[in-house]
Amino acid sequence: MNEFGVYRVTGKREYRGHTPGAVFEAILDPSAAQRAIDRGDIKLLRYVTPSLVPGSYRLPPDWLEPVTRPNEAPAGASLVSEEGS
Amino acid sequence: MKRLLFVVPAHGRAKLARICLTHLRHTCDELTAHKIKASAIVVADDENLDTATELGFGTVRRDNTFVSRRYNDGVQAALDAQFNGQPADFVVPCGSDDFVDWRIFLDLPGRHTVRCFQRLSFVREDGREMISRRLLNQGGCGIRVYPREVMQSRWFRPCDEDRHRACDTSILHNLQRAHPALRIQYAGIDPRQIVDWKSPDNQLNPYRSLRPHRPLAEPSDPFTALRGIYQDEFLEQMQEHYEHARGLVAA
Repeated sequence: MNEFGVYRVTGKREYRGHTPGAVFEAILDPSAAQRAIDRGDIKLLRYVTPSLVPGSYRLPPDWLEPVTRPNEAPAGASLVSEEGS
Repeated sequence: MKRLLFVVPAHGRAKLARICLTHLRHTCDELTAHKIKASAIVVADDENLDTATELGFGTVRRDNTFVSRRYNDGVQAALDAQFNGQPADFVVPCGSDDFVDWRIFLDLPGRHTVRCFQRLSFVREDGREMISRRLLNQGGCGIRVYPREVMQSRWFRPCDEDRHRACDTSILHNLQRAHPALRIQYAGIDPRQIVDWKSPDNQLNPYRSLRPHRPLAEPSDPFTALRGIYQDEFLEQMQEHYEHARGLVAA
């Protein structure tokens, strides 16, 4: 499960590069996290699953088109006309 | 036809990024012409999104609080079927200040292998000198070809979510832990086939910090050394960019 802890730095020193008071998300080693919590360095606020935010992205316009090799006619196309000429 | 998406976090440096993204468009078009459908997803929250849209690339809007989250969003948009109806087979993280020669992506790795590049070139912040280096750290530079299967082992979010830098290292280490069968394979390329164009602002790894790495060639003029590898139009645009920037500094 892609679950991350949301932590607040509660100690007086930086934790993992985060300044006191900062909130950060990370997957921490459970025993290391527990020790840091016990020391008062950080506090676990909640668990979250970080994800791409729907509506924040757009794929390349041609990405979902069927793949056509160069010099290959698109599906359904024909070089022979319906009249058979 | 295999499908490949570059993931390009971009922040500021709009003129330099425009030149590099325009070159990336050329890289993608060449790959598509050689039976690898390629495009890019640019992750930003500034005018670089407009440039990406203009060039026919995908976009993700994400603030720059954590660079790592930009990588993760881009990889997820590229590979996760929940967000992409036709997920790519491969993803390549790439900088918005890089030139990459399309030829180095023709030979794609197997399902459990990451293709890495140790040899690359760096252009000094004033555009007047280029050095080529072999990076000896595991995985080489951050531009790597990752198969979808490998990224799936980290739910398509391979980087620690709270990183400001060293994202390439975080991605590789996390994937190694999550995907024990992972193999790292280095491609032997000409170091000029990946070029990192330095600029004075927003530089996490300045030019001077690269000196300790193993040199592959004497420092050279970039616009002479890169001729024949990259098309003249791109080199001319870059030369004008640096000349303009130097003029601004002198003024």
